[in-house]
This record gives sequence, structure tokens and C-alpha cells, in this order.
Amino acid sequence: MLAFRRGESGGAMEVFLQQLINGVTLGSIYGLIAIGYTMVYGIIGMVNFAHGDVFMLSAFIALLILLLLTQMLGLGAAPAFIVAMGASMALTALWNYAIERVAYRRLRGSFRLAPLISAIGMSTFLANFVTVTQGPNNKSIPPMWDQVITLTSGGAYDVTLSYRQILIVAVTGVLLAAFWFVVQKTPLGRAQRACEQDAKMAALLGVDVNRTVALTFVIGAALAAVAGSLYLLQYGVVKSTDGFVPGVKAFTAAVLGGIGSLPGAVLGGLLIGLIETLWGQYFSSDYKDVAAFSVLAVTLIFMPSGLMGRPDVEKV
Amino acid sequence: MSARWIDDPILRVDHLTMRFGGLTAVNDVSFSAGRGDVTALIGPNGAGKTTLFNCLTGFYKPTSGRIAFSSGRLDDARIEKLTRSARKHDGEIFLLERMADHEIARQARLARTFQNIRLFPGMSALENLMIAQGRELSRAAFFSIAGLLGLPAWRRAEQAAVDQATAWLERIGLRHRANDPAGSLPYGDQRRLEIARAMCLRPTLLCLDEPAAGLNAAESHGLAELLRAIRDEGETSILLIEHDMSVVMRISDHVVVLDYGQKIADGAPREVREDPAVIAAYLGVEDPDEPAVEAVLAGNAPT
Repeated sequence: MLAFRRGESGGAMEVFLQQLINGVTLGSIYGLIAIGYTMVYGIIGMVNFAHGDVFMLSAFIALLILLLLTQMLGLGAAPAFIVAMGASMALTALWNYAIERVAYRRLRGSFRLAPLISAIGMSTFLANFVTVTQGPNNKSIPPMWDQVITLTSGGAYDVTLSYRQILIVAVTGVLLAAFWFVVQKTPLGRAQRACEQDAKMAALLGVDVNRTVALTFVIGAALAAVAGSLYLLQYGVVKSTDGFVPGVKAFTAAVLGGIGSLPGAVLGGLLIGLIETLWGQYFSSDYKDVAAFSVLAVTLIFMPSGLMGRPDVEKV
Repeated sequence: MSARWIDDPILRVDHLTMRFGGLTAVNDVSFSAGRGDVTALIGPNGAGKTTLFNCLTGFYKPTSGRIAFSSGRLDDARIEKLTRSARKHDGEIFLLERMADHEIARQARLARTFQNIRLFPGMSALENLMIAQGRELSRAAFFSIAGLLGLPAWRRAEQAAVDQATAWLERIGLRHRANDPAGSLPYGDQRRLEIARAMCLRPTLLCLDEPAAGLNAAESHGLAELLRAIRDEGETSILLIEHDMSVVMRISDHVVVLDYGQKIADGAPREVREDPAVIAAYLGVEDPDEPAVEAVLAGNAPT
């Protein structure tokens, strides 16, 4: 139970609560990215190392469109953001479709490391492509939706919840619900789960495996683009190397949750978000990345199938 | 007696060869399967039966040869015309060796089962059947968007699919286990579920790889009944690989015998049973008087 003990020295409870809110916000973004890792791993058994850079790319696409709409066309913040996020989802999905088609599909029957190496190459390509076209520095947007709701006051520290944070968590929640429905109830989701278990058999039942894998990349990219847009909204800046660290953290989230498991990816994302912010608060924010990556190492050593992962299903 | 596999074939395999490196698993095999028939493909272990199945269903690309298939009439002139073109099918006649596995299932409507059961163990029995209905459903779902919006056309398609799948579960006596993971069902139930799943494709040709393997006498009797019933409904012809001769003799109209990748006999069950080459192949020596072989071919042997 959380109890508010107002006026306690330093407002320890308030600080904790504030970091909890920040952690959940960050964790939602990690969760959205982690789904892309976990889905692709589930269906073709490959860690798509370029996924973090796809996320970065999507943030840039959102940034450019947002600036175009607000600065040049004078559109209001809310409609501009909605359009920018939608356009970023569509364009990033197209990018990821092309990446799968060009860099991964032909290597799918090859030895296991081949698509992985190709993915690392694609990651480097995307980061450098954005560096060359957009420059190496931070790009920023003017702050949007700065209003905050004050949850507690009168203590040593006011706990606040910003509109942006509400938006991030709400958008994440709605999208996850829609995504869950697609995976559980639609022919596409059924085909994805069938391909995960036995792609050859699924093909013999009329499932177009190439199309199903392509759509998996498209959906993963669309979710990453939502994460990219929300990340941009929350932190206001993005640069071309921003794909790597959030990418590896989302990958950590997917591993922690149990790679291949969708609810695991979300849970892992929230946990990594919380671990990172709380570590930053109570220990050292210089070492918050170390904390997150230690989780990756510890999970891989002691709990390789993660929190919600099933033990290895034999792949035929 | 005129034979349907000559007068009205649904499948015609011409000079099919499949090589793996230096090994020729199927060597210049030609045969036809009649529309509405149960055609049995038999032969000793390693005769190339499963390889031939894998060529039919697009699992392997054959080294050479032609596999023509039609739900209408297999007209020689049209097959030749299609062979000269670069096309996979002309809307009615399909050249299976040119098609990918999912196209064979979706367009030509060939369905198959495996010797070692290949259900999706983590998915429910009902969902296993619904995978095979993806063709109708995915059109209605329109990239899941219609599904997400809950449009009436999609709801109807989904309901129709659930109804058809439920009817099949009822028929194989598994309705009460519709929501259980397929992997948790007993072996005999899994076998029947796999056949039901193949039938949910509404196939014109159902290819069964040893459907009676591992079943006890009562179960294999029930299976023969089910296959006969499927055949008698007239929508689906059956091609099966089977070792259990009692099943083969009871239900098949036509038997094709392979040995070492080559066809050694082809005809009505009674003729094939008495064919000296077949008897020799099963025994491995030229001694047609051996009582054990006759027992095997008469369908009385222990399996």
C-alpha cells in the first residue's frame, strides 16, 4: 500500500510516486518498441537489431512533419501531432516493409547468423543515413501540452502528472488493446501464431508466410512509430544516434518479459522503465543505463525464458 | 469395367523425378488419380511415397516432370497448352510443380496431413481448424481493419467459419474439447483433428500420409468409415499413403505401388494384390508363395 505521509522529511514518498509516474511513461514507450522485437523473434526467430533505428527514424519523420505543419502551415498542436503520428506510422511501416524485403527475406532460409548480421548492417545504415541527411545534432520541437495536474501538494515536493504523460499511457493502452485483438481474434493474428509454431504447415493450409511475415514487420514498425512520436512529444528532442540505447533497452524489455511473448514485452517495458527511473533517482543517473543492461545480463543468465516466456517450443 | 482414373482423372502425374544430390527418391513416376476415388499409394519403406506427396503439395520442387490437377476436367490439349505457356494455371487446370505451397492449398485446393502429426499444439482445436479457413476470412477481415471495426461482413464471415469448424468438431466427436490446446488431445483425436483441419480447406483432393499409423483396430475402423463418408459426399477425392492393408483394401478404389522410387503396379486393389511384382517388393525376394506376404496383402497381418 502506498500511504501519503505528508511533510515527512524530504518528501520521500512524493519523490517515489513521481518517479513511478515517470517510469510508467518511459516504460510504455519501451513496451511499444519491445513488441516489434518480440513479434519478429516469435515469427522468424530473428533478433531485428535495426528495430531501434526504425524507432529513431520514425521519431525523425514525426519531427519533420510536425515542424512542417506547425511552423510553416500554422496548424494547431493537437491536429498537427495526430497527423504527424499517423504519417510517421505509415512511412515507417513502409520503410520496415522495404527493409524486410531487401535485407531479411532472402536470408531467412540461410544460417541463423546471416539475417542477424544483415540487421546490424541495416541498423548502421539507418543511423548514418539520418546523420547524413539531418545532421548529427539534437533536433527539437517546441514544447507541447505543458499543462500538469498536481496530485499532491503541500508536501516538500509536488507530485505532478502532465497531460503528455496521460496521453502517452492512454495511447499505449488503446493500441495494445487493439493489437491484442488483432493477434487473438483476426485471421492475420491466427496466421501469425500458426507461423510461429510451424510455418511450413501453415503454408500448406493456405497461409502466405511471406505476406504474414511482411505484415508483422509493418505492424511492428507502426507501433515503433507511435513510440517514436510519443518519445519526441515527451522529451522534445531526437538525434540520429537515439536508436541504439532505447533500442537495446526495449530489447532488454522483450528478453525480460520472455522473448516471443506479447504481454511479456509490455510488462518488461514497464519494468525496465521503472528500474531505469528509480535507479536514476536513488543511486546515480549516470549509471541508469548500466542498471538496465545489467538486467539484460542477469535475465539471460538466470532466467533465459523471461518472466512470461514459455520454455523453448521445438521448431520444426 | 472402366476406370475413373483413366476416364476422368483429377490428378495426372507425368514422369515425375525428384533427386536429392545423388539420391533419386522418385524416378520417372507417372500415374493418375480418379475424380471421386480413394487412391492408395503403397510400397515398402523408402519407396518414395512421402517424397511424392511432398512434390504434390509444394513442399519440394520436383527435379523434373509435370503434375496437372483440375477440379473440372483434365483436358489433354489444355494441359499441353498450359505447359507451353509460363503460367501456373488457366483458372481451372493447375500445374502444381510451378506453384508455391500456399497457392496449391488456396487455389488448387489440395490439402494434406502428415505421418507425424503437425497440428499447432499451442492453439485450440477450434483455432487449428480456423487457420484452414483463412482464405475466406482474410478477405472479409481486410488486413484486420474490418475485424477491428467489427464490420457486419466480417462478423458474418467469422461466424460462418466458426460454424463450419464446429460442425467438423462435432463430426469427429471433439466438440466438447473445442477450446483445449490441440497438443493436449489424445493421439487418436489429434489424427482425426488433423483430417478435419485439412477438410476445412474444402479441398478437392485430400492427401493423407499414413492416417491410420498408431491407431488401434477400432480407431482405424472408425477412420476408414470417416474417409468413406468424405468420399461419398462427392466433393473430395482422396489420395492416401497407408501401410495398414486392411484399411487400403477396405476403402480404396485404385492402388498405385511404388518401390525404390519407381512405379511397379497400378490398378484396382484386387489386381494389385495378386501382382507378382508387388508381392516380391513386399517380401524382397521372388517368392509369391510365401504365406506371410499373402497375409499382408490380404490385409490380415499384424501392424
